[in-house]
Amino acid sequence: MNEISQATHTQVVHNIDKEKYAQGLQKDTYLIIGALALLVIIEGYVVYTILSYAGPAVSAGIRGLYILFFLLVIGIETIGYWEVRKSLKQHMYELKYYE
Amino acid sequence: MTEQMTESTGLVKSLRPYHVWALGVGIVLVGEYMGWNFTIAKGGVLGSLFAMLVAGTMYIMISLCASELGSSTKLAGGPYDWARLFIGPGAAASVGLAVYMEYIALQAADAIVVAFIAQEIWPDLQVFPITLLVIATLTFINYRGVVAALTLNFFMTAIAFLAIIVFFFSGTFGVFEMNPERLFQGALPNGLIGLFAALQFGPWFFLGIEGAAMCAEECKQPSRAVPLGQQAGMITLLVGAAMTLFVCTMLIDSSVPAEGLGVSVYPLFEAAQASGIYLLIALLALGTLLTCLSSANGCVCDSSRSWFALSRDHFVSPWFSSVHPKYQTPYKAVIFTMPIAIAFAFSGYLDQVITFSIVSGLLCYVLIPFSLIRFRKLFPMNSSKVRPFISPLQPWIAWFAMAIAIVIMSTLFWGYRYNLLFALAFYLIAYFYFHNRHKKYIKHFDWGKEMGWPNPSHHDTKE
Repeated sequence: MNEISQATHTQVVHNIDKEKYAQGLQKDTYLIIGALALLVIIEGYVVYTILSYAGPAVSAGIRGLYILFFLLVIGIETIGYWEVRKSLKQHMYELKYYE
Repeated sequence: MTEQMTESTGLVKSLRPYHVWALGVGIVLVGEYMGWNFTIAKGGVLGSLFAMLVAGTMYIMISLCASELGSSTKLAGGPYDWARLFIGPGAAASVGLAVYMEYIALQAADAIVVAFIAQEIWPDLQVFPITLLVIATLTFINYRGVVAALTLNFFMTAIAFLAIIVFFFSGTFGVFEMNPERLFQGALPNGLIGLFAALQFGPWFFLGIEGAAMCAEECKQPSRAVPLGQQAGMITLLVGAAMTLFVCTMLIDSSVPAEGLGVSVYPLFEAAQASGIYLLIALLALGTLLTCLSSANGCVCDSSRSWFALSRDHFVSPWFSSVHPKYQTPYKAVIFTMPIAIAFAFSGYLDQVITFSIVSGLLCYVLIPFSLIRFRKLFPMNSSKVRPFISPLQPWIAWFAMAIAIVIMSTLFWGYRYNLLFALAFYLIAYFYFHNRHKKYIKHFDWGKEMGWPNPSHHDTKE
Protein backbone atom coordinates (compact mmCIF):
# COMPACT_ATOMS: atom_id res chain seq x y z
CA MET A 1 0.00 0.00 0.00
CA ASN A 2 2.81 2.34 0.93
CA GLU A 3 4.68 1.50 -2.26
CA ILE A 4 1.61 2.32 -4.37
CA SER A 5 1.14 5.66 -2.68
CA GLN A 6 4.87 6.38 -3.03
CA ALA A 7 4.68 5.56 -6.74
CA THR A 8 1.63 7.81 -7.23
CA HIS A 9 3.35 10.60 -5.35
CA THR A 10 6.49 10.28 -7.50
CA GLN A 11 4.34 10.34 -10.66
CA VAL A 12 2.57 13.52 -9.47
CA VAL A 13 5.92 15.16 -8.69
CA HIS A 14 7.20 14.36 -12.19
CA ASN A 15 4.16 15.92 -13.88
CA ILE A 16 4.36 19.34 -12.27
CA ASP A 17 6.40 22.47 -12.75
CA LYS A 18 8.73 22.34 -9.73
CA GLU A 19 10.04 25.87 -10.16
CA LYS A 20 6.51 27.27 -10.09
CA TYR A 21 5.83 25.35 -6.90
CA ALA A 22 9.04 26.54 -5.26
CA GLN A 23 8.10 30.14 -6.08
CA GLY A 24 4.58 29.64 -4.78
CA LEU A 25 5.85 28.23 -1.50
CA GLN A 26 8.41 31.03 -1.24
CA LYS A 27 5.67 33.66 -1.61
CA ASP A 28 3.60 31.97 1.07
CA THR A 29 6.67 31.78 3.33
CA TYR A 30 7.31 35.52 2.90
CA LEU A 31 3.68 36.20 3.77
CA ILE A 32 3.93 34.07 6.91
CA ILE A 33 7.23 35.60 8.07
CA GLY A 34 6.04 39.14 7.30
CA ALA A 35 2.78 38.67 9.16
CA LEU A 36 4.51 37.18 12.19
CA ALA A 37 7.11 39.96 12.26
CA LEU A 38 4.36 42.58 12.12
CA LEU A 39 2.53 40.82 14.95
CA VAL A 40 5.56 40.66 17.23
CA ILE A 41 6.61 44.28 16.58
CA ILE A 42 3.18 45.95 16.86
CA GLU A 43 1.83 43.81 19.69
CA GLY A 44 5.10 44.06 21.60
CA TYR A 45 5.30 47.84 21.18
CA VAL A 46 1.69 48.42 22.25
CA VAL A 47 1.78 46.09 25.26
CA TYR A 48 5.14 47.49 26.39
CA THR A 49 4.03 51.15 26.04
CA ILE A 50 0.70 50.68 27.80
CA LEU A 51 2.22 48.65 30.62
CA SER A 52 5.06 51.11 31.13
CA TYR A 53 2.58 54.01 31.56
CA ALA A 54 -0.45 52.30 33.15
CA GLY A 55 1.21 49.23 34.68
CA PRO A 56 1.99 50.83 38.09
CA ALA A 57 -1.80 50.93 38.75
CA VAL A 58 -1.75 47.16 39.37
CA SER A 59 0.45 44.78 41.37
CA ALA A 60 3.45 42.96 39.91
CA GLY A 61 1.48 39.68 39.98
CA ILE A 62 -1.24 41.12 37.74
CA ARG A 63 1.41 42.57 35.42
CA GLY A 64 2.79 39.05 35.16
CA LEU A 65 -0.62 37.93 33.85
CA TYR A 66 -0.34 40.44 31.01
CA ILE A 67 3.10 39.16 30.10
CA LEU A 68 1.88 35.55 30.27
CA PHE A 69 -1.00 36.20 27.87
CA PHE A 70 1.20 38.31 25.60
CA LEU A 71 3.65 35.40 25.34
CA LEU A 72 0.76 32.98 24.72
CA VAL A 73 -0.54 35.15 21.86
CA ILE A 74 2.84 35.45 20.21
CA GLY A 75 3.97 31.88 20.94
CA ILE A 76 0.86 29.99 19.85
CA GLU A 77 0.33 32.08 16.72
CA THR A 78 3.98 31.70 15.68
CA ILE A 79 3.94 27.93 16.16
CA GLY A 80 0.53 27.69 14.47
CA TYR A 81 1.44 29.71 11.40
CA TRP A 82 4.75 27.91 11.02
CA GLU A 83 2.82 24.62 11.07
CA VAL A 84 0.73 26.00 8.20
CA ARG A 85 3.93 26.46 6.18
CA LYS A 86 5.02 22.95 7.08
CA SER A 87 1.74 21.51 5.82
CA LEU A 88 1.97 23.55 2.60
CA LYS A 89 5.45 22.20 1.93
CA GLN A 90 4.43 18.65 2.78
CA HIS A 91 1.31 18.45 0.59
CA MET A 92 1.91 20.98 -2.19
CA TYR A 93 2.70 18.45 -4.94
CA GLU A 94 0.17 15.86 -3.91
CA LEU A 95 -2.72 18.33 -3.56
CA LYS A 96 -1.52 20.58 -6.42
CA TYR A 97 -1.56 23.81 -4.41
CA TYR A 98 0.03 26.09 -6.98
CA GLU A 99 -1.77 25.08 -10.20
CA MET B 1 -11.01 33.19 -13.19
CA THR B 2 -11.12 29.46 -13.73
CA GLU B 3 -14.08 27.98 -11.96
CA GLN B 4 -14.14 24.28 -11.39
CA MET B 5 -17.62 22.84 -10.91
CA THR B 6 -18.12 19.87 -8.63
CA GLU B 7 -21.44 18.34 -9.55
CA SER B 8 -24.68 19.74 -10.88
CA THR B 9 -26.03 20.51 -7.40
CA GLY B 10 -22.70 21.48 -5.78
CA LEU B 11 -21.30 24.85 -4.86
CA VAL B 12 -18.71 26.39 -7.16
CA LYS B 13 -15.07 25.91 -6.10
CA SER B 14 -13.28 29.11 -6.92
CA LEU B 15 -12.14 30.86 -3.71
CA ARG B 16 -8.50 31.57 -2.84
CA PRO B 17 -6.66 32.38 0.42
CA TYR B 18 -7.32 36.12 0.09
CA HIS B 19 -11.06 35.45 -0.12
CA VAL B 20 -10.82 33.45 3.14
CA TRP B 21 -8.93 36.39 4.69
CA ALA B 22 -11.56 38.82 3.36
CA LEU B 23 -14.44 36.76 4.73
CA GLY B 24 -12.90 36.38 8.19
CA VAL B 25 -11.49 39.87 8.66
CA GLY B 26 -14.39 41.49 6.82
CA ILE B 27 -16.89 40.21 9.36
CA VAL B 28 -14.78 41.06 12.40
CA LEU B 29 -13.01 44.34 11.66
CA VAL B 30 -16.18 46.28 12.47
CA GLY B 31 -15.61 45.28 16.12
CA GLU B 32 -12.36 47.27 16.07
CA TYR B 33 -14.13 50.33 14.66
CA MET B 34 -16.87 50.19 17.30
CA GLY B 35 -17.97 48.07 20.24
CA TRP B 36 -14.56 47.03 21.62
CA ASN B 37 -14.47 50.27 23.65
CA PHE B 38 -17.11 48.89 26.05
CA THR B 39 -14.10 47.11 27.60
CA ILE B 40 -12.86 50.61 28.52
CA ALA B 41 -16.16 51.45 30.24
CA LYS B 42 -15.85 48.32 32.38
CA GLY B 43 -12.13 48.09 33.09
CA GLY B 44 -10.32 51.17 31.78
CA VAL B 45 -7.16 50.96 29.66
CA LEU B 46 -5.73 48.00 31.58
CA GLY B 47 -9.07 46.16 31.51
CA SER B 48 -9.24 46.64 27.76
CA LEU B 49 -5.67 45.44 27.24
CA PHE B 50 -6.33 42.40 29.43
CA ALA B 51 -9.55 41.58 27.54
CA MET B 52 -7.72 41.96 24.22
CA LEU B 53 -4.91 39.58 25.24
CA VAL B 54 -7.16 36.95 26.87
CA ALA B 55 -9.73 37.00 24.05
CA GLY B 56 -6.86 37.06 21.52
CA THR B 57 -5.37 33.93 23.05
CA MET B 58 -8.74 32.18 22.90
CA TYR B 59 -9.38 33.19 19.29
CA ILE B 60 -5.93 32.07 18.12
CA MET B 61 -6.63 28.64 19.58
CA ILE B 62 -10.17 28.57 18.13
CA SER B 63 -8.91 29.62 14.70
CA LEU B 64 -6.25 26.90 14.75
CA CYS B 65 -8.95 24.34 15.61
CA ALA B 66 -11.16 25.78 12.85
CA SER B 67 -8.28 25.69 10.33
CA GLU B 68 -7.69 22.00 10.98
CA LEU B 69 -11.38 21.10 10.95
CA GLY B 70 -12.18 23.26 7.92
CA SER B 71 -9.31 22.01 5.79
CA SER B 72 -10.15 18.41 6.72
CA THR B 73 -13.91 18.39 6.23
CA LYS B 74 -14.10 21.00 3.42
CA LEU B 75 -17.80 21.58 4.11
CA ALA B 76 -19.90 24.75 3.94
CA GLY B 77 -21.54 24.38 7.35
CA GLY B 78 -18.32 25.03 9.29
CA PRO B 79 -18.92 24.58 13.05
CA TYR B 80 -22.28 22.93 12.32
CA ASP B 81 -20.74 20.25 10.11
CA TRP B 82 -17.87 19.65 12.55
CA ALA B 83 -20.33 19.10 15.40
CA ARG B 84 -22.52 16.90 13.16
CA LEU B 85 -19.62 14.67 12.16
CA PHE B 86 -17.78 14.46 15.48
CA ILE B 87 -20.24 15.16 18.32
CA GLY B 88 -23.86 14.41 17.40
CA PRO B 89 -27.05 15.75 15.82
CA GLY B 90 -28.40 17.70 18.82
CA ALA B 91 -25.15 19.61 19.33
CA ALA B 92 -24.80 20.08 15.57
CA ALA B 93 -28.20 21.68 15.17
CA SER B 94 -27.62 23.93 18.20
CA VAL B 95 -24.26 25.07 16.80
CA GLY B 96 -25.71 25.52 13.30
CA LEU B 97 -28.45 27.66 14.75
CA ALA B 98 -25.99 29.54 16.98
CA VAL B 99 -23.79 30.35 13.97
CA TYR B 100 -26.84 31.43 12.00
CA MET B 101 -28.06 33.67 14.83
CA GLU B 102 -24.57 35.02 15.58
CA TYR B 103 -24.05 36.23 12.03
CA ILE B 104 -27.57 37.32 11.24
CA ALA B 105 -27.80 39.40 14.43
CA LEU B 106 -24.45 40.97 13.56
CA GLN B 107 -25.65 41.66 10.01
CA ALA B 108 -28.73 43.43 11.36
CA ALA B 109 -26.61 45.53 13.74
CA ASP B 110 -24.20 46.45 10.91
CA ALA B 111 -27.02 47.50 8.59
CA ILE B 112 -28.49 49.75 11.29
CA VAL B 113 -25.10 51.39 11.89
CA VAL B 114 -24.64 52.00 8.14
CA ALA B 115 -28.07 53.66 8.10
CA PHE B 116 -27.15 55.85 11.09
CA ILE B 117 -23.88 56.89 9.43
CA ALA B 118 -25.75 57.74 6.23
CA GLN B 119 -28.25 59.78 8.25
CA GLU B 120 -25.44 61.70 9.94
CA ILE B 121 -23.99 62.61 6.55
CA TRP B 122 -27.38 63.33 4.94
CA PRO B 123 -29.80 64.27 7.78
CA ASP B 124 -32.88 64.11 5.49
CA LEU B 125 -32.52 60.32 5.10
CA GLN B 126 -34.58 57.93 7.22
CA VAL B 127 -32.93 55.02 9.05
CA PHE B 128 -35.68 52.48 8.19
CA PRO B 129 -35.47 52.54 4.35
CA ILE B 130 -31.65 52.77 4.36
CA THR B 131 -31.39 49.68 6.60
CA LEU B 132 -33.75 47.83 4.25
CA LEU B 133 -31.76 48.97 1.21
CA VAL B 134 -28.44 47.79 2.73
CA ILE B 135 -29.83 44.36 3.66
CA ALA B 136 -31.51 43.93 0.24
CA THR B 137 -28.42 45.02 -1.73
CA LEU B 138 -26.05 42.72 0.14
CA THR B 139 -28.50 39.81 -0.20
CA PHE B 140 -28.61 40.42 -3.96
CA ILE B 141 -24.80 40.50 -4.24
CA ASN B 142 -24.53 37.20 -2.35
CA TYR B 143 -27.33 35.72 -4.48
CA ARG B 144 -25.37 36.53 -7.65
CA GLY B 145 -22.17 34.76 -6.59
CA VAL B 146 -19.73 34.12 -3.80
CA VAL B 147 -16.64 35.24 -5.76
CA ALA B 148 -18.08 38.68 -6.47
CA ALA B 149 -19.32 39.04 -2.88
CA LEU B 150 -15.97 38.13 -1.32
CA THR B 151 -13.87 40.07 -3.84
CA LEU B 152 -15.92 43.11 -2.90
CA ASN B 153 -15.29 42.25 0.75
CA PHE B 154 -11.56 42.01 0.09
CA PHE B 155 -11.35 45.59 -1.19
CA MET B 156 -13.62 47.08 1.47
CA THR B 157 -11.75 45.27 4.26
CA ALA B 158 -8.32 46.15 2.87
CA ILE B 159 -9.21 49.88 2.76
CA ALA B 160 -10.65 49.78 6.32
CA PHE B 161 -7.56 47.98 7.67
CA LEU B 162 -5.22 50.30 5.79
CA ALA B 163 -6.99 53.25 7.44
CA ILE B 164 -6.12 51.84 10.89
CA ILE B 165 -2.48 51.28 9.88
CA VAL B 166 -2.11 54.81 8.47
CA PHE B 167 -3.72 56.28 11.59
CA PHE B 168 -1.47 54.29 13.95
CA PHE B 169 1.79 55.11 12.16
CA SER B 170 0.80 58.78 11.77
CA GLY B 171 0.49 58.97 15.55
CA THR B 172 3.61 56.94 16.26
CA PHE B 173 5.75 59.04 13.90
CA GLY B 174 4.47 62.33 15.30
CA VAL B 175 2.10 63.55 12.57
CA PHE B 176 -0.28 64.48 15.40
CA GLU B 177 0.20 64.74 19.13
CA MET B 178 -0.48 61.71 21.33
CA ASN B 179 -1.21 61.97 25.06
CA PRO B 180 0.48 59.07 26.90
CA GLU B 181 -0.56 60.48 30.30
CA ARG B 182 -4.13 59.38 29.43
CA LEU B 183 -2.95 55.76 29.69
CA PHE B 184 -2.32 56.22 33.41
CA GLN B 185 -5.31 58.51 34.09
CA GLY B 186 -7.73 55.91 32.69
CA ALA B 187 -5.75 52.84 33.76
CA LEU B 188 -8.18 51.06 36.06
CA PRO B 189 -11.17 53.22 37.09
CA ASN B 190 -13.27 50.34 38.49
CA GLY B 191 -10.49 48.46 40.26
CA LEU B 192 -9.70 44.77 39.83
CA ILE B 193 -13.36 43.77 39.40
CA GLY B 194 -13.40 45.97 36.28
CA LEU B 195 -10.41 44.07 34.93
CA PHE B 196 -12.43 40.86 34.80
CA ALA B 197 -15.76 42.51 33.91
CA ALA B 198 -14.04 43.90 30.79
CA LEU B 199 -13.57 40.33 29.54
CA GLN B 200 -17.23 40.13 28.46
CA PHE B 201 -16.56 42.63 25.65
CA GLY B 202 -13.15 41.16 24.73
CA PRO B 203 -14.71 39.02 21.94
CA TRP B 204 -15.62 42.24 20.10
CA PHE B 205 -12.05 42.48 18.84
CA PHE B 206 -12.29 39.09 17.10
CA LEU B 207 -15.94 37.91 17.06
CA GLY B 208 -16.62 35.82 13.96
CA ILE B 209 -13.10 34.95 12.70
CA GLU B 210 -13.99 31.26 12.93
CA GLY B 211 -16.41 31.94 10.07
CA ALA B 212 -13.50 32.23 7.65
CA ALA B 213 -13.40 28.43 7.46
CA MET B 214 -17.03 28.33 6.38
CA CYS B 215 -16.14 28.94 2.74
CA ALA B 216 -14.01 25.76 2.66
CA GLU B 217 -16.48 23.97 0.37
CA GLU B 218 -16.16 26.82 -2.13
CA CYS B 219 -12.35 27.01 -2.05
CA LYS B 220 -10.22 25.84 -4.95
CA GLN B 221 -7.63 24.35 -2.57
CA PRO B 222 -9.27 24.30 0.87
CA SER B 223 -6.35 22.63 2.63
CA ARG B 224 -4.11 25.56 1.57
CA ALA B 225 -6.61 28.42 1.46
CA VAL B 226 -8.30 27.87 4.84
CA PRO B 227 -5.26 27.68 7.18
CA LEU B 228 -3.24 30.29 5.24
CA GLY B 229 -6.11 32.78 4.90
CA GLN B 230 -7.54 32.24 8.36
CA GLN B 231 -4.24 32.62 10.23
CA ALA B 232 -3.41 35.71 8.16
CA GLY B 233 -6.81 37.02 9.20
CA MET B 234 -6.14 36.26 12.84
CA ILE B 235 -2.84 38.16 12.75
CA THR B 236 -4.53 41.07 10.95
CA LEU B 237 -7.08 41.29 13.76
CA LEU B 238 -4.49 41.02 16.53
CA VAL B 239 -2.44 43.80 14.96
CA GLY B 240 -5.55 45.89 14.25
CA ALA B 241 -6.81 45.46 17.82
CA ALA B 242 -3.48 46.54 19.34
CA MET B 243 -3.20 49.61 17.06
CA THR B 244 -6.82 50.62 17.69
CA LEU B 245 -6.50 50.33 21.46
CA PHE B 246 -3.26 52.29 21.40
CA VAL B 247 -4.36 55.32 19.37
CA CYS B 248 -7.85 55.57 20.88
CA THR B 249 -6.65 55.47 24.50
CA MET B 250 -3.99 58.07 23.71
CA LEU B 251 -6.43 60.45 22.00
CA ILE B 252 -9.76 60.09 23.85
CA ASP B 253 -10.19 60.53 27.59
CA SER B 254 -11.10 57.33 29.44
CA SER B 255 -10.64 58.40 33.07
CA VAL B 256 -14.42 58.49 33.72
CA PRO B 257 -16.04 55.17 32.67
CA ALA B 258 -19.44 56.72 31.88
CA GLU B 259 -17.94 59.34 29.57
CA GLY B 260 -15.45 59.63 26.74
CA LEU B 261 -13.97 56.54 25.11
CA GLY B 262 -16.02 54.00 27.11
CA VAL B 263 -19.32 55.21 25.65
CA SER B 264 -18.16 56.40 22.22
CA VAL B 265 -20.25 55.12 19.30
CA TYR B 266 -17.48 55.38 16.69
CA PRO B 267 -14.23 55.41 18.76
CA LEU B 268 -11.77 55.25 15.87
CA PHE B 269 -13.56 58.01 14.00
CA GLU B 270 -13.72 60.15 17.16
CA ALA B 271 -10.01 59.54 17.77
CA ALA B 272 -9.34 60.73 14.22
CA GLN B 273 -11.40 63.85 14.93
CA ALA B 274 -9.32 64.40 18.08
CA SER B 275 -6.14 64.21 15.96
CA GLY B 276 -7.37 67.25 14.00
CA ILE B 277 -5.98 65.97 10.69
CA TYR B 278 -8.66 66.30 8.00
CA LEU B 279 -7.26 63.51 5.81
CA LEU B 280 -7.29 61.05 8.71
CA ILE B 281 -10.83 62.05 9.68
CA ALA B 282 -12.02 61.37 6.11
CA LEU B 283 -10.08 58.08 5.96
CA LEU B 284 -11.46 56.77 9.25
CA ALA B 285 -15.00 57.87 8.32
CA LEU B 286 -14.68 55.88 5.11
CA GLY B 287 -13.19 52.96 7.04
CA THR B 288 -16.12 52.97 9.49
CA LEU B 289 -18.64 52.83 6.66
CA LEU B 290 -16.79 50.18 4.64
CA THR B 291 -16.15 47.93 7.61
CA CYS B 292 -19.87 47.89 8.50
CA LEU B 293 -20.74 47.00 4.91
CA SER B 294 -18.08 44.28 4.64
CA SER B 295 -19.14 42.81 7.98
CA ALA B 296 -22.79 42.67 6.92
CA ASN B 297 -21.74 41.22 3.56
CA GLY B 298 -19.66 38.46 5.18
CA CYS B 299 -22.48 37.74 7.61
CA VAL B 300 -24.94 37.13 4.74
CA CYS B 301 -22.42 34.69 3.27
CA ASP B 302 -21.78 32.76 6.51
CA SER B 303 -25.32 32.70 7.89
CA SER B 304 -26.71 31.45 4.57
CA ARG B 305 -24.09 28.66 4.44
CA SER B 306 -25.04 27.56 7.95
CA TRP B 307 -28.74 27.52 7.05
CA PHE B 308 -27.94 25.71 3.79
CA ALA B 309 -26.03 23.03 5.70
CA LEU B 310 -28.86 22.64 8.25
CA SER B 311 -31.31 22.28 5.39
CA ARG B 312 -29.15 19.79 3.47
CA ASP B 313 -29.31 17.47 6.51
CA HIS B 314 -33.07 17.93 7.07
CA PHE B 315 -32.73 19.88 10.33
CA VAL B 316 -34.81 22.56 8.63
CA SER B 317 -36.85 22.26 5.45
CA PRO B 318 -34.77 20.73 2.59
CA TRP B 319 -36.33 23.39 0.34
CA PHE B 320 -33.52 25.76 1.41
CA SER B 321 -30.76 23.47 0.17
CA SER B 322 -31.21 24.29 -3.53
CA VAL B 323 -28.21 25.60 -5.42
CA HIS B 324 -28.78 28.19 -8.13
CA PRO B 325 -28.29 26.54 -11.56
CA LYS B 326 -26.42 29.54 -12.98
CA TYR B 327 -24.64 31.22 -10.04
CA GLN B 328 -23.94 28.07 -7.96
CA THR B 329 -25.00 29.82 -4.75
CA PRO B 330 -27.38 28.48 -2.07
CA TYR B 331 -29.80 31.17 -3.24
CA LYS B 332 -32.86 30.20 -1.19
CA ALA B 333 -30.79 30.19 2.02
CA VAL B 334 -29.27 33.52 0.97
CA ILE B 335 -32.68 35.11 0.33
CA PHE B 336 -33.99 33.73 3.63
CA THR B 337 -31.39 35.75 5.56
CA MET B 338 -33.25 38.90 4.53
CA PRO B 339 -36.55 38.61 6.50
CA ILE B 340 -34.71 37.38 9.62
CA ALA B 341 -32.15 40.20 9.48
CA ILE B 342 -34.97 42.73 8.98
CA ALA B 343 -36.83 41.27 11.98
CA PHE B 344 -33.69 41.61 14.13
CA ALA B 345 -32.97 45.10 12.81
CA PHE B 346 -36.42 46.41 13.69
CA SER B 347 -36.78 44.71 17.03
CA GLY B 348 -35.54 48.01 18.46
CA TYR B 349 -33.06 46.43 20.86
CA LEU B 350 -29.67 46.80 19.22
CA ASP B 351 -27.62 46.03 22.36
CA GLN B 352 -29.76 42.94 23.09
CA VAL B 353 -29.28 41.75 19.51
CA ILE B 354 -25.50 42.17 19.81
CA THR B 355 -25.39 40.39 23.19
CA PHE B 356 -27.37 37.50 21.71
CA SER B 357 -24.80 37.38 18.92
CA ILE B 358 -21.94 37.22 21.46
CA VAL B 359 -23.57 34.45 23.53
CA SER B 360 -24.21 32.47 20.32
CA GLY B 361 -20.56 32.92 19.38
CA LEU B 362 -19.34 31.81 22.81
CA LEU B 363 -21.45 28.66 22.58
CA CYS B 364 -19.66 27.90 19.32
CA TYR B 365 -16.30 28.53 21.00
CA VAL B 366 -17.01 25.74 23.45
CA LEU B 367 -18.20 23.31 20.79
CA ILE B 368 -15.58 24.00 18.06
CA PRO B 369 -12.60 22.87 20.22
CA PHE B 370 -14.69 19.99 21.52
CA SER B 371 -15.35 18.94 17.90
CA LEU B 372 -11.60 18.96 17.32
CA ILE B 373 -10.95 16.81 20.39
CA ARG B 374 -13.53 14.30 19.14
CA PHE B 375 -12.08 14.46 15.61
CA ARG B 376 -8.60 13.64 16.91
CA LYS B 377 -10.03 10.75 18.94
CA LEU B 378 -12.10 9.31 16.06
CA PHE B 379 -9.41 9.81 13.41
CA PRO B 380 -5.97 9.69 15.02
CA MET B 381 -4.26 9.04 11.64
CA ASN B 382 -2.51 12.01 10.01
CA SER B 383 -2.93 11.20 6.33
CA SER B 384 -3.25 14.01 3.78
CA LYS B 385 -6.77 12.86 2.94
CA VAL B 386 -8.08 13.07 6.49
CA ARG B 387 -5.96 15.83 8.02
CA PRO B 388 -3.93 17.91 5.53
CA PHE B 389 -3.25 20.58 8.18
CA ILE B 390 -2.29 19.44 11.68
CA SER B 391 -2.96 22.11 14.27
CA PRO B 392 -0.14 22.24 16.85
CA LEU B 393 -0.28 21.80 20.65
CA GLN B 394 -3.48 19.78 20.57
CA PRO B 395 -5.54 18.82 22.51
CA TRP B 396 -4.14 21.21 25.15
CA ILE B 397 -5.06 24.41 23.35
CA ALA B 398 -8.54 23.04 22.58
CA TRP B 399 -9.20 22.46 26.29
CA PHE B 400 -7.70 25.86 27.17
CA ALA B 401 -9.87 27.63 24.58
CA MET B 402 -12.99 25.99 26.00
CA ALA B 403 -12.02 27.08 29.53
CA ILE B 404 -11.51 30.71 28.44
CA ALA B 405 -14.83 30.70 26.51
CA ILE B 406 -16.67 29.50 29.63
CA VAL B 407 -14.94 32.14 31.80
CA ILE B 408 -15.88 34.90 29.34
CA MET B 409 -19.44 33.60 29.15
CA SER B 410 -19.69 33.68 32.96
CA THR B 411 -18.60 37.34 33.03
CA LEU B 412 -21.80 38.18 31.12
CA PHE B 413 -23.54 37.79 34.48
CA TRP B 414 -22.30 41.33 35.18
CA GLY B 415 -25.06 43.21 33.41
CA TYR B 416 -26.46 40.66 30.97
CA ARG B 417 -27.59 37.74 33.12
CA TYR B 418 -31.12 37.57 31.62
CA ASN B 419 -29.74 37.66 28.08
CA LEU B 420 -27.34 34.86 28.96
CA LEU B 421 -30.04 32.72 30.58
CA PHE B 422 -32.47 33.36 27.73
CA ALA B 423 -29.87 32.44 25.09
CA LEU B 424 -28.81 29.27 26.92
CA ALA B 425 -32.47 28.22 27.38
CA PHE B 426 -33.08 28.94 23.68
CA TYR B 427 -30.24 26.66 22.60
CA LEU B 428 -31.21 23.97 25.08
CA ILE B 429 -34.74 23.85 23.64
CA ALA B 430 -33.24 23.86 20.14
CA TYR B 431 -31.02 20.93 21.13
CA PHE B 432 -33.95 18.73 22.18
CA TYR B 433 -36.20 19.87 19.33
CA PHE B 434 -33.65 19.09 16.63
CA HIS B 435 -32.49 15.91 18.33
CA ASN B 436 -36.05 14.56 18.16
CA ARG B 437 -36.63 15.84 14.65
CA HIS B 438 -33.43 14.25 13.43
CA LYS B 439 -34.56 10.79 14.57
CA LYS B 440 -36.82 10.66 11.50
CA TYR B 441 -33.83 10.99 9.21
CA ILE B 442 -31.40 8.78 11.06
CA LYS B 443 -29.31 6.70 8.70
CA HIS B 444 -26.14 4.68 8.53
CA PHE B 445 -23.25 7.07 8.03
CA ASP B 446 -20.77 5.95 5.40
CA TRP B 447 -17.51 7.83 6.09
CA GLY B 448 -15.96 6.53 2.88
CA LYS B 449 -18.83 7.66 0.67
CA GLU B 450 -19.59 10.96 2.42
CA MET B 451 -16.07 12.11 3.30
CA GLY B 452 -13.71 9.83 1.40
CA TRP B 453 -12.21 8.75 4.74
CA PRO B 454 -11.60 5.36 6.35
CA ASN B 455 -13.86 4.31 9.20
CA PRO B 456 -13.18 5.98 12.56
CA SER B 457 -11.05 4.23 15.16
CA HIS B 458 -13.93 2.71 17.12
CA HIS B 459 -16.37 2.68 14.18
CA ASP B 460 -19.40 4.31 15.81
CA THR B 461 -21.11 5.10 12.52
CA LYS B 462 -24.60 6.12 13.59
CA GLU B 463 -25.18 9.74 12.67
